[in-house]
Amino acid sequence: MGEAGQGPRTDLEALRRGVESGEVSRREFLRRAGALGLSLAAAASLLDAGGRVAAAQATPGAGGAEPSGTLVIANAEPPTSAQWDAYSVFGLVDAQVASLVHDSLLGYDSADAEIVGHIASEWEVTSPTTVRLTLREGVRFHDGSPVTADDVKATIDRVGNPESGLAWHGLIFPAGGATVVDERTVEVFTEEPFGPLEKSLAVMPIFPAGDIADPELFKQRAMGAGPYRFVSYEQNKVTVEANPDYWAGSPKIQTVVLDYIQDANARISALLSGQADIITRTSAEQLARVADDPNFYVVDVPPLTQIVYIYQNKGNLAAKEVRQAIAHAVDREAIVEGILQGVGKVPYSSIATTAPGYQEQAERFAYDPARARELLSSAGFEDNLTLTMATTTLVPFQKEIDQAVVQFLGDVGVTVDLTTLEVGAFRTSYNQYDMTLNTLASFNFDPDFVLGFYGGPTAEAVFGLDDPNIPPLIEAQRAAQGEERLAAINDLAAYLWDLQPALYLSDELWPFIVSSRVKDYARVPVVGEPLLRFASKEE
Amino acid sequence: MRRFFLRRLAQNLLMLAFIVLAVFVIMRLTAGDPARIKAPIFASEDVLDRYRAEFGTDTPLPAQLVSFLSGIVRGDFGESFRYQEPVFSLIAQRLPQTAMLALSALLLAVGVALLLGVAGARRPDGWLDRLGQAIAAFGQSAPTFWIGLMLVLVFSLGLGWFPAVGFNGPQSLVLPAIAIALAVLPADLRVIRTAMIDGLAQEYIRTARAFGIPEWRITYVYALRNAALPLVTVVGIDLGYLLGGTIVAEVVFNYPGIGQLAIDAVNARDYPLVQAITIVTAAIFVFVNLGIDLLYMVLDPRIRIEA
Repeated sequence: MGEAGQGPRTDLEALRRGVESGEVSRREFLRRAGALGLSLAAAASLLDAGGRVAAAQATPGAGGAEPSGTLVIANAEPPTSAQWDAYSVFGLVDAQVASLVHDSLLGYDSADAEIVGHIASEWEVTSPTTVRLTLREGVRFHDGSPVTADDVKATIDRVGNPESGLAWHGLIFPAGGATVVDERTVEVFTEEPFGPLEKSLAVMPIFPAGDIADPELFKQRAMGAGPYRFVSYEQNKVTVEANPDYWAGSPKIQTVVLDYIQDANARISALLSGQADIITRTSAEQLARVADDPNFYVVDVPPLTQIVYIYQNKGNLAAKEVRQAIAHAVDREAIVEGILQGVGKVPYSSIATTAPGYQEQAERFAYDPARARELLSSAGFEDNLTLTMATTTLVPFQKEIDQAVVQFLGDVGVTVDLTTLEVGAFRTSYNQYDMTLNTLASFNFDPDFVLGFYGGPTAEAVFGLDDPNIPPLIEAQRAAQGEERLAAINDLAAYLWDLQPALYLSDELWPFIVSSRVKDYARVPVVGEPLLRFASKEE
Repeated sequence: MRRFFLRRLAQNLLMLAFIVLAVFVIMRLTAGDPARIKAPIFASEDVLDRYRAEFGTDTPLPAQLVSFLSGIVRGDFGESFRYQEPVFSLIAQRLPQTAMLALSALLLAVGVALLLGVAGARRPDGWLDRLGQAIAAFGQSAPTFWIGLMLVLVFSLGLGWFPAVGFNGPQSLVLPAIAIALAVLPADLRVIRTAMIDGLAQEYIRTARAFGIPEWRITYVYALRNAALPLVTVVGIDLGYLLGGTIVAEVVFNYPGIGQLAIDAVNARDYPLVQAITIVTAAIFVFVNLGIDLLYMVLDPRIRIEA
């Protein structure tokens, strides 16, 4: 198995070093970077350390050769619905479609996850609540109409409206909106300081104002300014094709099919037989099938995703000592090694280990059944605690993990009443059980997204949690910038780690298996595929 | 005969009405709010209420039932919660694929059962008989999903003869059809073999032989015609299995049929789609069996006289 996307990155680094040593001119660098499939914007951003204004000179249509071939990505899930309003859904395929069909003000052009200008060629954070952006010239929606300041305003105002009812409101973007300064300048503002604003702007698709005025259009198609055009959604397959007029140049692959293959064996069979080129979110079993096979390589750049036991922080789990006792009673390392077979990483804080601001906490809540019994005893439980748990197949190896946890808790005198539910019933009723295994993922590569779950009505609904100390900590990390923000994130993470409102089992690694026919496939730690336009496929 | 047909038709329509009511009630008794399934786990009540209003699940159950029944009367089974298009259009896309697969499997099973069953009856314990018994034992003991996986492993990943998943033309039918056929073949084979052994031992067959009628004619015209009745019965039972068996094969081979659609619909608590699929498949089953009843009368004059 090879490494993801190392080829072009290595070549580009060599080119950049050539520029620094004077062996390669800037013009030559940009030409050769274009031949490697990088947009001028991305190439220019590699030359300038600041990167923020360098892309302003990028010209459209500089992507390189004609797009060709068809790439099939086999997912374990379909789109969550047949409408294409990205702001109302949180599924994997929804995010894939959004990242391919739409473009955002800011975005990602390289695997190092550096934020660069996309629809906006320049931007400046003018205050803790405001970002001023200059729109790039020549960016057009797929129907040929230009992307205007009015489109940006309509999109941002909609998600910033607390009455919108959009799923993304409050998580990706809080109360706020946009102001049109002139036809090429907009100011995006939030009512309160919002630290992840730039990261959110890098994943927030800009819609045509006409679509926002007539949301019925979302049911017919997805239409944006992204590198791919929406073609069809039929029989759980989404098909998109290269947009030759994309401002940064056409993608290299002509057609991308996002296929839904429900059965794990069928997914790996599709990959091995060449009917699929990439399979997403694979298990250890699937990884073992392609281990040491030069025809495949693995890319594991997950978004900030955690596998956690969601507790209902009331009733038997109201006492912090009980929750801490469970943390000591469950051998998380053994579960990750034995059941997940190493496809995961055990955290020692309440956020994903790859999250900005993650720091290991001093108290590791290591596996210690004796300590667990002490804590249970101090909470008044001596072999007389019974907890309810529901299990299903939502998380890979969920039933095996749940059985192991039942055993670990049994070892410290906690009885678990385990109920098996069908997936749909589980998703509806998980919060009627004391503890349930689930995943929490950030859609904007910022821990704020997940940390936000622990405050306000969401915390009450998801965790049965109402802790007045948490909302100020959430606000504090949102208001801070730079290093201060990382420290504030850690303050909140440490508070939650001590509180243990959930059992933080593991990061989820999201290994994708990729056919070696696919060249230069790389990911950034978001849910969608913003770098797919740089990939090519050998037929 | 007309009276018999009308009586059976009325019985079947009554059964369908019962199924319609049962599926409505069962879907709503099962835990699971479609709005909660569609929304992210952390969605607010406002968002959930919006989905409920969109799906019509915010109204009382009797009102939902009235709306559902009046829709059926108008031939409108509603719009899928998940796909947001009329459910019949979704079913129309998938049903021909499943019908094609089920029919291929049935023809394969019946064809092989006829060949091996007749051969086994003519020469019990001959090599063709033993081959048939072995295939029947294998088909009966190995589950469809396992057979499917083995077929993919050998003929798709190993030899590269057929696609592993999906539908890309007639070649995509081969492996799933074999997997399904192997499940229904044992019963077909045994019924045909037994009926043929029984038939070939009848006195009229001995008489036919005495008259010097060719053996192929005796076997395939006289004896087989009498074996047709139990065969038709078992094919009717096969159809019941095929409606369920194709679901397994569709999942293993990611075949875009109505079974996959049904599983997705159940998981998403897509009430209109689940209801429509159930009603359509139940109707197919009921009316195919009505057809088989009528076929009995064609094949056996005694039943015609009783009717």
